[in-house]
Amino acid sequence: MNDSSENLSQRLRRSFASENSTDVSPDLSPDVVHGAADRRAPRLVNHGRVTRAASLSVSAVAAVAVGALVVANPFAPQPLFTAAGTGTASALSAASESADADLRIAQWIDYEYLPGDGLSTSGGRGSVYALQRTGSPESVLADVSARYGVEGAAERTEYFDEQYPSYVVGPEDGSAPSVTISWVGTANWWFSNPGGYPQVTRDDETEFVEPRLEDSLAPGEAEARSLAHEAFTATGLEVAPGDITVTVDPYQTMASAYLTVDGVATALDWGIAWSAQTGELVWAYGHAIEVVERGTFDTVSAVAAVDRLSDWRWFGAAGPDYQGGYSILAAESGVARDAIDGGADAPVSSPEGSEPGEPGVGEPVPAEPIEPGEGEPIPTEPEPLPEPLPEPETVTVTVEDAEATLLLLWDAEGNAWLVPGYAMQQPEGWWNAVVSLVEGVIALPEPIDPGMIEPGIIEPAPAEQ
Amino acid sequence: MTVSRAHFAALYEQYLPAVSAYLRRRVARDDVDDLAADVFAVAWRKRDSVAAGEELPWLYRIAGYLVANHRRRLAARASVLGWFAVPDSAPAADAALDGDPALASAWATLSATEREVLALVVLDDLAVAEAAVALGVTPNAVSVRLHRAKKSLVAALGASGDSDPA
Repeated sequence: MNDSSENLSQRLRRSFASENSTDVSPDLSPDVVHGAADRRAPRLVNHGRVTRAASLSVSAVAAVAVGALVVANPFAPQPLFTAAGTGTASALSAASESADADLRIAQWIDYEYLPGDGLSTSGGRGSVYALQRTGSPESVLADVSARYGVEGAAERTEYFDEQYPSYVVGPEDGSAPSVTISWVGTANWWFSNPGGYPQVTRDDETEFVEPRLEDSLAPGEAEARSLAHEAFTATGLEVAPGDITVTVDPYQTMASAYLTVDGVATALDWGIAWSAQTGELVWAYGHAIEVVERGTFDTVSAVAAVDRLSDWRWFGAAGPDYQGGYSILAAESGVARDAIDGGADAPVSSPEGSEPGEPGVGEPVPAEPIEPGEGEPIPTEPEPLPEPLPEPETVTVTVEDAEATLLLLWDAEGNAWLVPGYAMQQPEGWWNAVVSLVEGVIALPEPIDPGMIEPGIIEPAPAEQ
Repeated sequence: MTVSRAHFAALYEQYLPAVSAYLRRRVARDDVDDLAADVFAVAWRKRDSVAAGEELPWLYRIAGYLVANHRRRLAARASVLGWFAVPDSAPAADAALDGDPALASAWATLSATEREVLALVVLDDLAVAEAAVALGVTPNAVSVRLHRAKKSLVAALGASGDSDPA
């Protein structure tokens, strides 16, 4: 066998050599190496540079700027969608970039990701699902309002924007129950009953008495699970009672469950809670969507997907089994801004938190719909960086665990999708999740060179609220 | 430790012929210069992540990604299915084997994975451990792939009536 193998090798070498004998490999100029530092390195997952180079006019360049991966060739298939990149619904992506930028500045660390030996080198196939909004904002609000006893007609919220429309039934000042819906993405709606939490009035000399669990008027675990199951089912979430998570504490009883597609728990959840002090329903949230399969597509291997960890455009939000990483950073830096800013006495979260990366427990914020991509106020001028800049510390992370799952992703039009991806556990224990679709199935936004990050570019606010 | 420009140039200039040959086996001659420049630009950006002594197979790994992307772009111009093509950076049958039709036919029956591991070890003269770096897998995985690839190639030659691998 060794002789045979050697003979085969020699035959291969001869054959290739003979073919190339009249067309040998070119002598490369040393400038290729000496000028490497000055040449912009291509992103290994991006076709945009070449498609732009192939464009014949300024208008063509403009046309490919958003969907650079696919529009250079008129016969190429249209992508399913263009992933959100600037503003729209890319709270996760933009915030990830922002978080990454923050990390670079604060800690000055560059992460290099390498695939571990245990990762698969085989690609596969995976289904893509569109999360299509059902009905109209008025019809959804009518159904939810009737369910929770909120009277009134649907009106535009104070923060209504044509690009990110939101509607409300009931007052927005928290004086009475209301139902609000954000008519983008997953048509996230939330009910809030501010009266469910009685106002606490005491002076400083009054000793605070910690409520006791046994005094709770909220439903117990079993009853809450049953009530939540009925509520979730009625609002479009098919879930087994056993898959509903119930949390009982001296302040409230909460229940939540995740949308499961193809047996995979996604990042999209429904929730409901009752006050321990009054026993009343105090908040609930959900989504008005139907899951529509849009086809099955090739996926890259886990090894290949590791490279995407260096490119925020591939990031998505995985389900509850893979929390942490950029998802949490995104929630903290952008999506859940109001929850953070609200302070201890404010509602602690928003159903918007059920969008990329946030498990979605706590009370919805009734007044201000938090738009995807919205974050901290953006300074108009970048802060001057200290000179000379220190060299970033490079931390090499070997990814040893990658699990196939479904990721929640927003497109540039404000629609939500579930796409195949990998959740990759980092050595610290948290997870990052990247899309595993082969290039071209979806279009990516233009990359942002980390060295060119400027305030106002990473996270442009889609609309002034 | 961060590699300086001078050190980078001194270290990597020796690999220019090898990278050129690697690319020439996989892409058109006119594309070699640009792709090589991209290879070294990526290498510069990630220069601190390579282990000493593994520079060449690491360059091949970068080049493999770039070749796969390059081919996908070319394929997409010819066919709508090109965008969905499985990444493939291995030498193609029609690129080098016109002088040996039987071998060309057999080579064409191999999977991209099989062609790539054969090319790296046989044509690019990498040791198994180096090929493992180039492919991003373990040396053991390379050994297994290499064995299977040779077996597949011999079987394909046999099926075509060519029983003599030499």
